[in-house]
Amino acid sequence: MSLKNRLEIKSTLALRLTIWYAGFFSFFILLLFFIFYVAMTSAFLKTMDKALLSEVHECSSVLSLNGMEALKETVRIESEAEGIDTMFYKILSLGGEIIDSSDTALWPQTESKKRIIRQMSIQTQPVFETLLDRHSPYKTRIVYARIGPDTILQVGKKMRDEAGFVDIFKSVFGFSTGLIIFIASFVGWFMSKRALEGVREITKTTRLIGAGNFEKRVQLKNRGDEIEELAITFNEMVERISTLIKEMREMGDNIAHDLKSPVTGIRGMAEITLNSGQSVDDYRKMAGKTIEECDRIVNMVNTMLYISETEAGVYEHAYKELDLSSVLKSAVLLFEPIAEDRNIEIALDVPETLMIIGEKQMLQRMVANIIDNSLKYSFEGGQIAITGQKMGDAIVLIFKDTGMGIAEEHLPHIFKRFYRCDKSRSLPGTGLGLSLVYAIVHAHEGDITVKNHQAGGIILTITFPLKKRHRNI
Amino acid sequence: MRILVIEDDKNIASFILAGLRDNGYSVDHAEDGENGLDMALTFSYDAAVVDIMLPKLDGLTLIEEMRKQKDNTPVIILSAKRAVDDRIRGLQKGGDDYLTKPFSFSELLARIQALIRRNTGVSEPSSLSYAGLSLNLLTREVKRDHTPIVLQPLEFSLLEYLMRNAERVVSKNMIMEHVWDYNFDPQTNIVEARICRLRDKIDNEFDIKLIQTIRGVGYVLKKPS
Repeated sequence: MSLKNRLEIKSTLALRLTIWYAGFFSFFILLLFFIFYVAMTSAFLKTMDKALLSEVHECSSVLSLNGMEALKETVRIESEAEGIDTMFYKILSLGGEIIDSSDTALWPQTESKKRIIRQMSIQTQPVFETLLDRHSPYKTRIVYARIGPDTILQVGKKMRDEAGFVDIFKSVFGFSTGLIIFIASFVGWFMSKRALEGVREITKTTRLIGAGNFEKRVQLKNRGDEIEELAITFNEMVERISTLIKEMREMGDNIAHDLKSPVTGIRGMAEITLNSGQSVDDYRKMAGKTIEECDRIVNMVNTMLYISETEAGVYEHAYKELDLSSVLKSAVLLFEPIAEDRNIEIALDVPETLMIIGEKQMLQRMVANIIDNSLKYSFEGGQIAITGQKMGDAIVLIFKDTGMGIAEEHLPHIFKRFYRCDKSRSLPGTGLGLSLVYAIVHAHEGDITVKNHQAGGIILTITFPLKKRHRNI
Repeated sequence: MRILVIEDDKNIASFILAGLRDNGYSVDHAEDGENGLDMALTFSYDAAVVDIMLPKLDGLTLIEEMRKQKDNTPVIILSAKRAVDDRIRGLQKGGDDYLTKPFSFSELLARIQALIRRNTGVSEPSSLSYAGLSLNLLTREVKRDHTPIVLQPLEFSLLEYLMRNAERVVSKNMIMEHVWDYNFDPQTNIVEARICRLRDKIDNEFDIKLIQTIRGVGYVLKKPS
């Protein structure tokens, strides 16, 4: 199934965002409606109860002032005035017998509850109940109250106002709920679409890059949002990867080239010796040449591995405090004879000690590679000046030679693996020496720069920050 | 002296076997781990050369098993991997030395001899001598036919290495690594220059030239035949 098909299915992020948004939005609106509904109905009930209680009071005062017959009269008039289908009255004895009642032909469900009547004989507080009427759309609110020593009044009233409210509420609710869900979905969809538009753009570009089009980049819209940030990071990543791929391709070519020449040498020498070799000495020469060339290949491979290991931080656990001054001194000593042979002066200017956290083998190799390189490109009678010193929070090493220097066009590339300034690759060397130096400097969190100086030759500056490493000890 | 070589790669095994036999050792060869372990436990060897990647039983397990069975034959591990961790693991499992492929035969030979010396408890000599050349390790005095010779420290350690390996060829890489503790491939001929200096002091004034260059392989301290 292609990516596109997968996106068509309901599980797209945009759809999910929309559902979440609409769901939350609707839920809170419904909650609001519900709270409003409860508040309104309880307000209606309170008003109703107040009205019923005032009826009770009125009847109670009629009974105590004018007697039972007057009460009966009042009750009949009142119920007829309200409408006999809206209100009913019953006058009961404490025993529950009906003394008198309004016309209850329209009230089929109003027989007095024995439980409540019994309750009335103990307490004087009025008791309310709500009845649902199967035959009428309205609920009935009923109150039982004692209005005399052995007289109970039962008054019921249809809740027409509340029902009216509920009706309106229902229709408003139904309509607005639909509208709200619709609007929420629409807004949610629109918003997530807009938010994910950038992601879509990135996906599109990624697909193109995945197909091998490494020149493609995500178009930036300068909105400065998170998606933009993702796009920028993504572009930077693609840039790095494509540079890496380019370098790896170049490196592959270079390795192939650098392997081919020693192998050709070995093969040619063996062929010539086999064809025309006369003496043991000829064969000895061939064997010697073979070993030399093999050593060249092995050294190249080992150096490559060493660079990779250095970059991967394989040797990091071996870091400890050591004296860079003594590393420099012993390296200078090592190269002394060859410098003397070529009448090159190596001047070293370092303090008594120069403590640094590092790996000795790596730093030795770094220094040796730089001096070796300088000697290789120095003229007879030249000078190599090495200084090392602590400057603030860093150790700064400067290697300055009077050699042939490096053409400006090569300068940005000289730390690349297998990069050689002489394109014929005729001078000895693998083109790995300075790459290794670079890797080692970076493994120690340092920095390296190289430039030509006016008198000819190069100045190579290495800076190791002290603080970072030293914090770890 | 009898040496067991456990190595499945036929090319490598054949040159190790031939080289060791040329140097006067009797050599047994096993092509897989199980067979090798059997031989190691059955016979008594002065040293064993064990490849890590072996069919049937890998080299590290083999060494571990040998040590469990109280077999303390000194073992040199051969490995194509050069990561520090592998080396440490090899030595922890009971290996005595670790050599990464590709290696030069002279390096292997030197290491085998060093292991056998260590194992047989030959005490460290206080002086070395060869063909009228003597080197006192304590006073650091060098004499040839009773004529004192003054050497710089680096020259002294180079000569010491050559004398310890007298009549054995040592490669440039071995000198870089063992004498000066530098593990890198110089583009300039620093070893050659140093050897030249040493020759000036040791051989120039004498008829018999002791330091010989073996083209492509390295150098050897040896009386000319």
